[in-house]
Amino acid sequence: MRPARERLTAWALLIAAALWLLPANLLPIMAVTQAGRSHASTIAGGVWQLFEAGMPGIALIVFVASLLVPIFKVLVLAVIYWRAEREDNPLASTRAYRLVYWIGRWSMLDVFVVAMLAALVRFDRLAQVQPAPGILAFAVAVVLTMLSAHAFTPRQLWKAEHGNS
Amino acid sequence: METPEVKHSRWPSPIWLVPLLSLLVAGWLLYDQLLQRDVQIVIRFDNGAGIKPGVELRYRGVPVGSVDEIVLDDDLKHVKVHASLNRDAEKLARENSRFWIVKPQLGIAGARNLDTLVSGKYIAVKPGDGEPKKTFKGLEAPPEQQPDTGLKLTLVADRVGSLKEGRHIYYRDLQVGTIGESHISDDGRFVEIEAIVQRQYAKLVRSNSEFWNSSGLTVDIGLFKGAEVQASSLENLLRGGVSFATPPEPGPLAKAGQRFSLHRHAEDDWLEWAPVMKWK
Repeated sequence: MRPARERLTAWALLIAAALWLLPANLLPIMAVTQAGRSHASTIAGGVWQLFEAGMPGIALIVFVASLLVPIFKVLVLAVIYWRAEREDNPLASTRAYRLVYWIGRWSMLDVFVVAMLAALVRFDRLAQVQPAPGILAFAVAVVLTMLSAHAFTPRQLWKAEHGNS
Repeated sequence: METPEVKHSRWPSPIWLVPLLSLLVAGWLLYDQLLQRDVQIVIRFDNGAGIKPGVELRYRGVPVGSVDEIVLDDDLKHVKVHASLNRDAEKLARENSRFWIVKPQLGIAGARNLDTLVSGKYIAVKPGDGEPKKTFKGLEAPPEQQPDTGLKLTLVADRVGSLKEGRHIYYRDLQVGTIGESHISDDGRFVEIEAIVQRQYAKLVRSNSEFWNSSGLTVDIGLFKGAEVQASSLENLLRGGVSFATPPEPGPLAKAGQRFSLHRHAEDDWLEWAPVMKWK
């Protein structure tokens, strides 16, 4: 595949991922039913609940892992793609790309947690966890980000210096 | 070597379908979930005991919404319960819709709503028939015990006995109404018991009907006739209730609020009264 075409694919997937991040963060990701009371929470709402429940450490971890990292990944990829044409610091960009690529495999953690809870917490009326539409959008956003990163090859960052385009 | 002919497609790469589809689906999802939100309603209760944010609203036993927050009314005499109804249950919020708090009831002749012991109280709704509406006055008791759903009468008795609120009124052992509140009469000589006969049975009550307390047993032992035991249904025996009968020549229809005296037990011939009354 030609580099320009390759970059186009990466861009298209990245834009799609960015679009899915909106519902992923605005919609509830799961609904917890406890003793007959149902409560749906978004990612940000869950972080705030953890913080209020006196667990600032876990709240910070969830905040970084579930809220910051997905947005950060999309932004970093966008910068890398943008600069690919006239890259003046290919080493830094390649490192950033590898970091994003490496984080990708851990990003499904939220989806995994919700799936586990939904499967394990089934005590009928006492406690129940149901996935909500937000987690689906989150999963799609993560997958599209990974596909986008995969569609791009960091070799493109180096072509200018080697002059082989 | 021949140079390969390079053709450029006039169409953009099909990969752009992915962001396009994403825009459509994600946008629709957002619109569906956020903009077409649940219907917000406010219910005013005299007493909000047991109601917390998250408490369910149920219709026919199925959750249709939940309580968001509870605030005190400005006059401190009511609590305002803000609740959201699911979109598909929007039609439940209309004029004449009734909301009441379902609590567990334990009694000697039966227990009701025991699930609320575990899951807590919930708010039940009965849909009305009017225009869509957003604010409601909550009921303290289920609608079948509300005075405005039927013919309201006053029974005058010496003592209340076991006729507590929620007990039933029977016509030929069939439940046709409910006992409401009791209070002591103005002069202090009697108790006045509110009785609500369901609207569809209201025509069975005539101004010359006789009411009697059908709870308990009546045992009559005589030297020559042996023992005679009289009781209506077993449920009635345990729970207590009121029965009534209308004489063979039924009088005019009973008026709302009419007073009847409540007899301790039925005269023998009352039980045989079987007047023809078109009650429908």
